[in-house]
Amino acid sequence: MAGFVLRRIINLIPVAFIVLLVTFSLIHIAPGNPAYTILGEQASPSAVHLLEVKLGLNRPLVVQFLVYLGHAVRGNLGRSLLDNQSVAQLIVTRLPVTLELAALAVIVSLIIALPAGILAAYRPNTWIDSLSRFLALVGAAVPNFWLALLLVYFLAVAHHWLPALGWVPLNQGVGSNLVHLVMPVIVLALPLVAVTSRVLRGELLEVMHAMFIQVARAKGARERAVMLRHALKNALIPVVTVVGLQVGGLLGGVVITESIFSLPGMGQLVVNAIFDRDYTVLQGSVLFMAMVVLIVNLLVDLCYAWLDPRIRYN
Amino acid sequence: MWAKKGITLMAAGAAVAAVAGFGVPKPASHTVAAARVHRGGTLNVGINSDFVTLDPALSSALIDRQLYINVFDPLLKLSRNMQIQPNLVTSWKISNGGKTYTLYLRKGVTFQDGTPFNAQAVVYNWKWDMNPKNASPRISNLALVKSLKTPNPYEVVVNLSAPDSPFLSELTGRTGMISSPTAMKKWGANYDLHPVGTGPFEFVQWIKNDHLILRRNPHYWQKGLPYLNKIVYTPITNPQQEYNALISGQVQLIDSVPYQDVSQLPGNSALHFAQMSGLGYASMELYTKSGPTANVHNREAINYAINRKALIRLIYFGHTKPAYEEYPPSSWAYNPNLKVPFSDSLAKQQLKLAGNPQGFTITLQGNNDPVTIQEMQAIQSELGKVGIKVNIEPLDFTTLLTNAINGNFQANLLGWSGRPDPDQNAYAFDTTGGSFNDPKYSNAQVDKLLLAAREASSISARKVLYNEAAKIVLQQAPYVFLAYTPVIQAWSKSVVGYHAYPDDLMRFATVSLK
Repeated sequence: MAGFVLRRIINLIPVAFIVLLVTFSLIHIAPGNPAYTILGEQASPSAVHLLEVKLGLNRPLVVQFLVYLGHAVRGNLGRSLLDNQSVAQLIVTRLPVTLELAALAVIVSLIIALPAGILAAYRPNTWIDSLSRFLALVGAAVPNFWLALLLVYFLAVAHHWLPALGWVPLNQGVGSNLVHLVMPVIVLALPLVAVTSRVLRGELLEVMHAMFIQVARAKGARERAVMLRHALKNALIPVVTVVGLQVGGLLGGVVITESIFSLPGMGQLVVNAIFDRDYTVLQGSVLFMAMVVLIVNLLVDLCYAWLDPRIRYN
Repeated sequence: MWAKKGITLMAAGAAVAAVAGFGVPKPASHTVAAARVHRGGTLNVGINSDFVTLDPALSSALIDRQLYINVFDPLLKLSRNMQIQPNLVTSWKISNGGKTYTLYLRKGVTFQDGTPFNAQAVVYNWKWDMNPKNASPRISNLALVKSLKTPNPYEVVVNLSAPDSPFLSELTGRTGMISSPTAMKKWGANYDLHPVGTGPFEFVQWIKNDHLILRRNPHYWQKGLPYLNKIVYTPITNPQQEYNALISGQVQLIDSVPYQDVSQLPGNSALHFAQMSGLGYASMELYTKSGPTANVHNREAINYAINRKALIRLIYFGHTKPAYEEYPPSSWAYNPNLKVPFSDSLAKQQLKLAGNPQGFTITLQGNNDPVTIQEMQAIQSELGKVGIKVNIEPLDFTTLLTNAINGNFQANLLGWSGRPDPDQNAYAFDTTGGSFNDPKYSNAQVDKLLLAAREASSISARKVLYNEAAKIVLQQAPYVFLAYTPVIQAWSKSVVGYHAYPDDLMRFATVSLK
């Protein structure tokens, strides 16, 4: 087990290098550079040239990449080319937003999806199942930006029940923090509920046909116990996979939701960095996010072993 | 109505200032109002994008100026009619045929860190700006400066290599926003994260994409001001959400209102609002060096074929005026009689003169946002009617800009945020080799007129020259001016003493909360 974890962690190093190389190459294919972005409407050929020299953008790309790599290896992600803020600091200030948003969205989605999936499988092809299927269909089909704007209109503009946007750090009041996250969490959780509940229902129905379920029934276990104690744990592995992927996606930033609700999370950071050609911020945050996704995947793999003792890592 | 009034007042005031060569006296003090005003409180302000840099010497973004106007008192200030008034420079003298500016500085002013504000500080800032290593965009504003002298601590003598009539106007903007030399030396390359000025509010904290906090400067030179304790700026990039934040009370003032919501403002009893022509314009740039738009008749055809009024109804919901030149209605250089008719037959005539009566095909580049795309589609359909086929190419802003500067376009939609002096809206755009001349336009007559206007000393003489140049530029159409950018701001009725300005900047020194 320890050897497995260690190997996976060592594997992060080549992945990190490839991520950096690909990010660096892709963003340099895009026309322009931060000198243009910074100067904006005041960009003139001479001003752009002066700024390129100051920022070191006139040096050969290989040199620029190696210089960056040299710093990154020593743990220095550099400073934003645009506003001179430390990239590590930018990530640290945004991470809590994304982490909390992702955690709440996943928790809320599980609170709804697990009972919904179990009920639907417990009474397949009844009205409960139909209702759960209908809700899942709606959850998966409704575009999140539309739902977000609708919620803002009804809950913030028409009735002043919730703030329209923004973020309050936890240390400035838990209540205020949660109130600001109600709408974003609804928007993010809904499609997760849809997917998770349908996957769980399908898995449960399949497991219910397995031999060991018949054995459980034969020994006289009640249907509820069969479902919750025997079937559920076995049906959870694909669910864990799905939730793991969702967590990875959420941690990668939920750009649209963050921008509609003006939440200063990772997604906004990355998207703005792309548009601004802020190379250092982009490379730093993509690297960080890639590492997070890999670590989440590792945890998912470890989870399998916990759920199914037959799975072993050597 | 307000705009017409603005022109008269401003022209008169600016003329007096320029002809006499001295600043006009300071307007009535704030002491009367101060007796009744409620002090303290936090003003929450919504801004349509986040700040880019906090150092005025490094800034190019329009939005940055919203911050600077409250942290850095400019050397000269603008009245609500865009008239230049004394501020940290209390009076000035222009001599040597417009080549020497002597600036007399206000005494007893200190920076927020306690450093005295004086001539040495001004010169220290400008020398930093003029050092190419620092790559300050201000270098072009100070390009004509030959020498800077400080005969005494409150006098700066600026010698220029040529007369430069917009020089005073530059001092109302970022060139005239002076940083504390102590702070510049202390923070070095990171000064831009710790700005220190002389303004009514001092910088406290900036969490990018989240908020920026200013607090009252207790040592502000205007005694009793400011009234507010704290200002919190929140960037809200979605215009509808910014408006929602105002309606739901999360912010008390916003710097722009979505055009489709402007008509609701008068009916909202909780809000005040202001609507006026700004200093900038929206335009289409046409590349004059190659392709079909190199032919002046093809450019003229485009100029005739665009229905500006319909475009304004569609994009601005009617809340602005059509533009035919780069001088906005609030400028003394504005000529309300200059226009081209919207006429398909005149357009077709020009296409015949160009030798392509059936029309031609061009690619139109624009920013990849819903409003600009709608605008490009409207232009596509208008030009299609006379046989000009338009291919639309939406791009991210950096690509759009990079293409514009490198001549990698045929037509694009790029505007200008505008400045108070007409030279700042024209010279770099229209003269041969001008730094913002993306279309690579070149016309000897325009070069001559704009140079003469830069060197002329009286407003009336300059106005004649700008009007003459504008006529040629309109006819030759390196730019097809579409509309003036309106300034539309709204604020809660709990905000007292707030006034909107045509330059869009929100000044908070005399604002208080109920």
